[in-house]
Amino acid sequence: MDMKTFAVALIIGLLIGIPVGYAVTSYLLAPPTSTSQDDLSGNIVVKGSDTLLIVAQRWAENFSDQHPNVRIDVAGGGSGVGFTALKDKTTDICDASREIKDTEITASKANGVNPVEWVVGLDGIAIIVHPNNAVNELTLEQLELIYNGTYTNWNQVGGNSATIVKYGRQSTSGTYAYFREHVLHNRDFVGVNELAGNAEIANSVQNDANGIGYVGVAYTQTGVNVKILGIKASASATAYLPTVASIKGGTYPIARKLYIYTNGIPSGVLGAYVAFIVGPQGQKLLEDEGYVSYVKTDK
Amino acid sequence: MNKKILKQRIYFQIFRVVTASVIIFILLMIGIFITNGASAINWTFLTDKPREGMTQGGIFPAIMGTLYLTLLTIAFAFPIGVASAIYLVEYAGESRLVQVINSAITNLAGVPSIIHGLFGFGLFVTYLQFGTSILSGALTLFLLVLPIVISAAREALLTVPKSFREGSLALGATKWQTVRENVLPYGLPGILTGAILALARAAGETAPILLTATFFFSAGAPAVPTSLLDGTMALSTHIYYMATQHPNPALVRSLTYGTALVLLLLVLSLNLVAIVIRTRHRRRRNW
Amino acid sequence: MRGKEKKRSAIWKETLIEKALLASALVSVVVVVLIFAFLISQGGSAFGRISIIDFLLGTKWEPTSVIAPSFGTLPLLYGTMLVTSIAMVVSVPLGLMAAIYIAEVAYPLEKEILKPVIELLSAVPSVIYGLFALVVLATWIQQLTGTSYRLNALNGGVILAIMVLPTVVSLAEDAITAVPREYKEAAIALGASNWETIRSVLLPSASSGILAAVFLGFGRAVGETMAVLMATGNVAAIGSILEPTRTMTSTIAIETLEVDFGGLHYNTLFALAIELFVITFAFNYLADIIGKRLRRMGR
Repeated sequence: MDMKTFAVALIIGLLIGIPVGYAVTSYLLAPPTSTSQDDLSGNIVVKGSDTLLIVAQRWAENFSDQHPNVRIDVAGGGSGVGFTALKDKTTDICDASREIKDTEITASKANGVNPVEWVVGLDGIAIIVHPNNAVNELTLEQLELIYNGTYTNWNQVGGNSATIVKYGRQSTSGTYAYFREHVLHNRDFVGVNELAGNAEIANSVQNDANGIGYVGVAYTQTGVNVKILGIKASASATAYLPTVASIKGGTYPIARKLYIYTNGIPSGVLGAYVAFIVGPQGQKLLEDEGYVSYVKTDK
Repeated sequence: MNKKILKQRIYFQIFRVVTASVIIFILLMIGIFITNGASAINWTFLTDKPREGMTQGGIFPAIMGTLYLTLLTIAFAFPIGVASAIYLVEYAGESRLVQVINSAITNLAGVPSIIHGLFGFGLFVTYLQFGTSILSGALTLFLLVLPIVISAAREALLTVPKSFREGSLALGATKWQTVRENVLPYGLPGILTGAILALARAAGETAPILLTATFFFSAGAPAVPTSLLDGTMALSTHIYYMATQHPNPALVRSLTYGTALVLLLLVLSLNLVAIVIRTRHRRRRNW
Repeated sequence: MRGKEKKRSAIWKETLIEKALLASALVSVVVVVLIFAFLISQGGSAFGRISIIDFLLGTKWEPTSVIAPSFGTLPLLYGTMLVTSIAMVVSVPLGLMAAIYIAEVAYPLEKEILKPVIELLSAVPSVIYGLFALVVLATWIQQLTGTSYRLNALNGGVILAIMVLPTVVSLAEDAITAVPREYKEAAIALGASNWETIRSVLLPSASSGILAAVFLGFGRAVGETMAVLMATGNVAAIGSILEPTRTMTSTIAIETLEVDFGGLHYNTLFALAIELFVITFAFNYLADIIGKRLRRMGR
């Protein structure tokens, strides 16, 4: 065969051979999977809350390390995404950082889906600012007036004169919905940078001297350099930081439950996974990520 | 007279500086990716799955996901694209139908990628109930790259001289025999170039598969899809997720850069191969 | 008899092959029709429930508001146009200069290197540009302008300019090289310098092609998603260059996964997609017409 044909054949061979060779080698070199007798196998799809995303990932990673034949796919997008997917039967588990709405229950039932709620944890919404910001605490009302656009300057809440730069979540987020319902009393956000994830908010506030943001408290752990504000229920109340104690004890004013929803009571692989999540192992992983366990075990 | 030449020299130097700056800027950008990402790349990175909340481990599922998606996409797009090109060049006349087909191809090429994604989500994921899967993703990407394959193949076939065909027909061969023996082999490098470019394009796309095929994280011993209806991770979406949805993007920054570097190397080398094939073919052919 | 049968089956085979090839070619037509039909049907049904005027000219995009959902797309259109305009203002002059350089001034060796390099640059995936804008470019811009918003329209515009440059450069360069040699030779024979030739003869003759290049670049920029999604801050409001903005493409990317299949929000996103497609189609079509006019003249 001539040079040209040889070259073409070589290229095609490489294009096919390299990926195949890589895949084969990786499988061969991969650490041996658990040899224990494990009859748990199947596919689980999880969609929903971005607040729960990293916990959901940890649950999936841990569970499948123990049961290697179970495949779990995890996606975020917001609690709204999860509820829609549950209704459309494109997910097995819906992660949610807010309760399901009545309209969503009706729509699901109309589609033959029966949402069952599981409380899987507690979360505080931390209000974060740049470490150099002079403000240390806010009342709930001040927070509301900031995010509904009434207050626009830091000096209106005890800080230096500077425009308040607001960061928040996009509308699909349960955190967004919770904040709007409980802090803004169902009025709309005004002039907020809508970012696609808790992480983005934390990152933006870290880099913005005049920024303020609301994030699940877990996102203020490790590595992010922001100041968490104390929140007071009213001007005369004590200000609380979102800690395990204040969240569990109910004294932190902006705390909420975290949920997962399934279609009916799950059995088989899915049932084992839900049991794992609400059981001690899952709850430990939840707390490792900075959330608070709801399940009253021995703590 | 001297003033004219001086002015010209100044202008041309400015143009040279501008051109150089543009190139340098983008090379600088690529350089930033290399310096920040190279430290993350090692054998573990390429063969292990993500661990410890995706702060360690590797991107193996994402690499395999991208490979599966792109190869499946090409499996659809290559036969249909090349066949379309053969029809348009070898068999079709100037009829109304041909104009319609050409217009359709041009329009398809002009559809923004996010609209492909929206369409894929509406039709494949939701309406046809394929769910978030590599099937939905590959079908969506197929629509996106089809015009690329057709254009490249069409161009390749058009450069084959008429005399090749006429000689073959004059000797009594049928149309298909002519195409298969006397035209296709000489258009093959061009067709191949098109296929590789389409492959590279499919590998780099994010928006369409974000809406139709990918997950933030996939766990399981084969953390790679085992059926067409499985979802997957992918290099392009992994970069997006790690930069915007991970709880601590600063912590995993080098992993993100590493993933970006792998994707960049994959796409650029595919394009390089395509360019090389095309250039060598252009130089080598003697018609 | 045998010979005739052989011939008939050969003809059959030929016809079959031709029909198969035709069927393949028709796939493109089917697909385009399907996309159009789907867009129009899903998007059109939004207009039964909201008025077109409100949709196109309304200034509030709050599809998930509990109190008063509004679907005004003007802020999104504004965002797209603002970011794209910034991109074109930056990339057209620079691109034209680079195109002139490559076409007329560069040494053959330089040309051999520059052209493939520019082609490679257009192959870089958009998410990589997005990552760069999110992490590096935003910091540079923030340092340069002192703005308090890290992610803003300028950030999106600049990264878009970089993405569009290779298109503008290579198409403009093609247009300049396509001008018949006789024009150039005539000018030089009459004593014009290189620059005078370029300015007075080549550029005017290539103007249609260059304009087509600009329009195509515009169309590409309008349709771009990932880079602007990561770079602009995603606030659906009409603001200045240094404030965050949101494009039509980002909106579709962010909100698609959340919507209820068949719900009003879902339909509105398709309507938004129609609006987006009309714009890109218009620019691509204009570019095509201008390009055809060029081809009919020069050669």
